[in-house]
Amino acid sequence: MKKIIFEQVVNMILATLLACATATTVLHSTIDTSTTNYFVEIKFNRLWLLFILMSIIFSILRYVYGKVFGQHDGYDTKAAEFSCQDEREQLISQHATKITYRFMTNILAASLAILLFSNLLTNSIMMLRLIPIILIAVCFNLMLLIYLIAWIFYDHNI
Amino acid sequence: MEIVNHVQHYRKQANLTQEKLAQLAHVSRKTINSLEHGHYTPSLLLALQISKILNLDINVIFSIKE
Repeated sequence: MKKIIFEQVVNMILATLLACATATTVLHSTIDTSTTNYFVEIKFNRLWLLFILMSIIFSILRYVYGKVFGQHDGYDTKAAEFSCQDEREQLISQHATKITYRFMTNILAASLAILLFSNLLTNSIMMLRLIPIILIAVCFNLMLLIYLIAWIFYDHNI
Repeated sequence: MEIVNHVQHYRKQANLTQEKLAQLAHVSRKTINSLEHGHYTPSLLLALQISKILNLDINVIFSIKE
């Protein structure tokens, strides 16, 4: 169970950082179509650097975790959150994936509805640019969290 | 129909701990514990492995309750 908690927490941190970095870039980038020259300026901020740094740190951590606890815990860096120690954990992983899939179909459908009506809720162009990023980030994190909760639930009940 | 197992009884008879049986069957201790309490139905491969470790016929350890 520890390996799944470790993997999903790391994934959630990275997903949030990526979403924040993308949102900040969208907020600070400028698009000028008023003149005859089409001008786009994309600014990459420090959050991107932090995201790259964290990705490297977490890759090292994953490698170390795999080497230290891998054999005992059944953690495999390639399989990541689908790592299984034995057939029971394989079954847990299958159940958790099924639950996550079911939840995600509903969450994505709700996200589409939110996107559809988002232009009715706000007049701000900036908000309209941010809403899809926020929605994707929320869906991403929810997916990781549902898998984690489902895994823990089935680990206690199977 | 459900599968009933007597793993706990025969494991104790063989003087094996859950940890040791898990080690010999290449599974986690939690799997053996879950199996003994009837929460988990093992695959045919694991059932055969356990019966081989305990040196018993598979029908002695696992049976179908109707």
